[in-house]
Amino acid sequence: MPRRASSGINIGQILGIGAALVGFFVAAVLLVKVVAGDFLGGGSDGGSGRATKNATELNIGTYIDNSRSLGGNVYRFDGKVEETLRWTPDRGRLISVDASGQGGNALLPVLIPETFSNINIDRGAEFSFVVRVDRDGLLIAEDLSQG
Amino acid sequence: MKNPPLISPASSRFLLRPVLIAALGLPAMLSAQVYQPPAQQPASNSGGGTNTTIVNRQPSQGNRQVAGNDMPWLDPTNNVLSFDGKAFNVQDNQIFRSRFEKFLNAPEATSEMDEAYQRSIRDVLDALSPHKKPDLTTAVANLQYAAEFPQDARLCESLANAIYRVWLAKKSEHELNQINTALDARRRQLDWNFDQWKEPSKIKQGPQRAGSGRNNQQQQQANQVTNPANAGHVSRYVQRIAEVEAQRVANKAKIELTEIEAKLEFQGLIVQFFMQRRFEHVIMGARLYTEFFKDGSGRLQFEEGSDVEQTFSKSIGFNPTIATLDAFSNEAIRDVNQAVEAFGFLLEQGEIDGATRQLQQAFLTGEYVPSVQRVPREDKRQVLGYAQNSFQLVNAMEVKDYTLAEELVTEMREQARDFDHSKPTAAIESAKIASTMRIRTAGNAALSGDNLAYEENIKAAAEIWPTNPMLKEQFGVFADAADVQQQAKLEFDRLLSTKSYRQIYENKARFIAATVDDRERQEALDQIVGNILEIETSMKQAEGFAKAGNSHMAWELIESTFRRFPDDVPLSAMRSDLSTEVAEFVRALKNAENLEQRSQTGSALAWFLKSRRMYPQSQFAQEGIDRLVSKILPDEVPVGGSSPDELSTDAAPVGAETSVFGSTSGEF
Repeated sequence: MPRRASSGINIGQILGIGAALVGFFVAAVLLVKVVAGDFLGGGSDGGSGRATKNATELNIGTYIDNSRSLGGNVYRFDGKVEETLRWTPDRGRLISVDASGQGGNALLPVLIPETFSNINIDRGAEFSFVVRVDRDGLLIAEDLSQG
Repeated sequence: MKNPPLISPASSRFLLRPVLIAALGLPAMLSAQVYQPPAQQPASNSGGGTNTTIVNRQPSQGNRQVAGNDMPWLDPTNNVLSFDGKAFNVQDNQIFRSRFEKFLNAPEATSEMDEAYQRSIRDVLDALSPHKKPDLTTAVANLQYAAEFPQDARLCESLANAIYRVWLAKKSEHELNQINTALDARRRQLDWNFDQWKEPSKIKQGPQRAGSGRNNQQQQQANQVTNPANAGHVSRYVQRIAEVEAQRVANKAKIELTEIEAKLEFQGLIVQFFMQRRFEHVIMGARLYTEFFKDGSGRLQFEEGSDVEQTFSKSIGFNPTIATLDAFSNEAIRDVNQAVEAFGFLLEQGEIDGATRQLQQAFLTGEYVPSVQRVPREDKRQVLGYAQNSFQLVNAMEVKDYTLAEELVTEMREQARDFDHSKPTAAIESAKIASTMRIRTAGNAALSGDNLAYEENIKAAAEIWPTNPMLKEQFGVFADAADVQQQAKLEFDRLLSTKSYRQIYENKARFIAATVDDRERQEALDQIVGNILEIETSMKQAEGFAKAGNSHMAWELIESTFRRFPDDVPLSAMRSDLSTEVAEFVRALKNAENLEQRSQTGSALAWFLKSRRMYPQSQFAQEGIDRLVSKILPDEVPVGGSSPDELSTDAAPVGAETSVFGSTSGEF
């Protein structure tokens, strides 16, 4: 009995492949967009967009009593620069900020990474800080905007 | 015109004393209250009425012979009696003391036997009285009678024997004179015979004519001599005449020698009586001597250069005679009688001291004089206690027992109102003061650690007053001091082990003295004292700061000190007080430190910052900030070589605050 001859790629298969490719492309674009938005600061406004908006306000009382309990979290607070405790050209600067907010006010030490070197931090200047608490309870600035 | 006596009664009395003392033959003590201050006067016995016992100066023993070499001899210039090669001080001698005390306790010599003896002596003296013809027979007979009494000690018998020997000598002299008379007659006969043989013509021929006769005579003489038979007769007569003459001369010499021997023997006996202070016997002997030896001189034959000879020659200017001894004896008896009379009077007046002295004087001079022997025992007993105390006082002074001496002086003052206590009291006080001063000097030397001076002064104090009670006390004090030192060391160790440093500090003077020879403890003590001083200084400063309103600075100063000395209670108390005053600041610092220890770097730094805001000059806060900042942003030396400070200062973009590194936060 003779074998039936193949008919080749049919239209259904071609459509299916095409749809997969489109889906993969869309997913890739979204992924790139998400990634770029999270790690690159999200655009031309200095990266203050989503993080500043989403961070919760720092409870100053809780922080000065047990800063390590807040480790890994991101907070925001407003404060006035009191002094620069130390500055390094490649590792940023450590400043004290007279912060006020939830739980009272206090002088808080904030490490400003070198990535913010384009921002002048003067004594008495008021900023809104978005900070992450590291494992030693130190506040590391993630975003700051002059008030 | 009667010649004045060679020795007046006054001068005789003056001279009598040394002579009688020389005659005493016994050491005597008259002035028992004399003292020799130990510090001022060395042990010397050179007169001056001192009552020194130790005789350092040994008198020369050469040429000191009195009637041989066995008679005691006293040098009146220093009251030192020499006898048998030894020297004694007559003013202080146990023999005299015992004899005098025996005399004071002896009954008076008023018994029938005593009276009989005195009568017999008086009879002898009366029989030999120069105012009538001496009755030698009665005198000698009474001598034999007096010798029977024990009071006489057979001295009258010795005198009688001396008389007998004189008689024998006289008899021998008479016999020799008779022999010489016979020899003289024999010689005259021999001379006549010799002449006959030499000139026979005188016998055989009658008178011749003058012319031829002269020639014949000359011829016969020549024949007589040249005749050998006649020549033998002549020579034998010459020899016999020489023999008789020699015998006669020898006998004459024997006569003279016998007389001298008898005189010397009698003189020796009289001198012996004088030395024994048997004055009545001296008088009897002197009168008998005058009867037997009528040469008139009576000069005593002392050996030339002997002490007795020198004493007499120096005192009266010539060698004494028998009459001199007679006069001395009479004067002595009179002097003794007067002293006994004075004794009785002073005793009636209650002047015990003076009475005792008079009795001592009478006893010393005329122990055997009847008036002394007749002193009633009741009277003597009244001065016995006083005399014994005076002797004991001398002994106490000698051994430097001034405590006893003082007691005796007090007792003697009660016994005799006329007792001159000034000398012994002054001596006692001087010795006490000198000894006490020495002890105090020794104490000071001991405190200053001068052991040499301590020993020297203690030795001197003991020499001055060996029984000084302060000596014993002083030794006790030093022994206690040694105990105190040991106790102080033990207490120091105890306080050290319990960390009671403040107590050690408060008793630092005591512990310093106790640990002066203990290096280990001394170092510990130094450290403790130094630390407490530092604490005290900090506390004083903090007190000042607090008063000035700077309680933060005060607290920091105290806290800083407290961290070095956390076990000091006063410091801790002050810290607590100040902590209350700056409680907020202290709490902030403590929180910071606690959080730092728990690696809560952020919180800890926040608290340090808060603390510094409260007290900007806070050293603790600044140190904490610097420490944590360095932990967060460690200094890194850049490749370019700039220092971290330069980088931080020069590159700091924050205002004009300059550097926060190493600076206080005063800029803010």
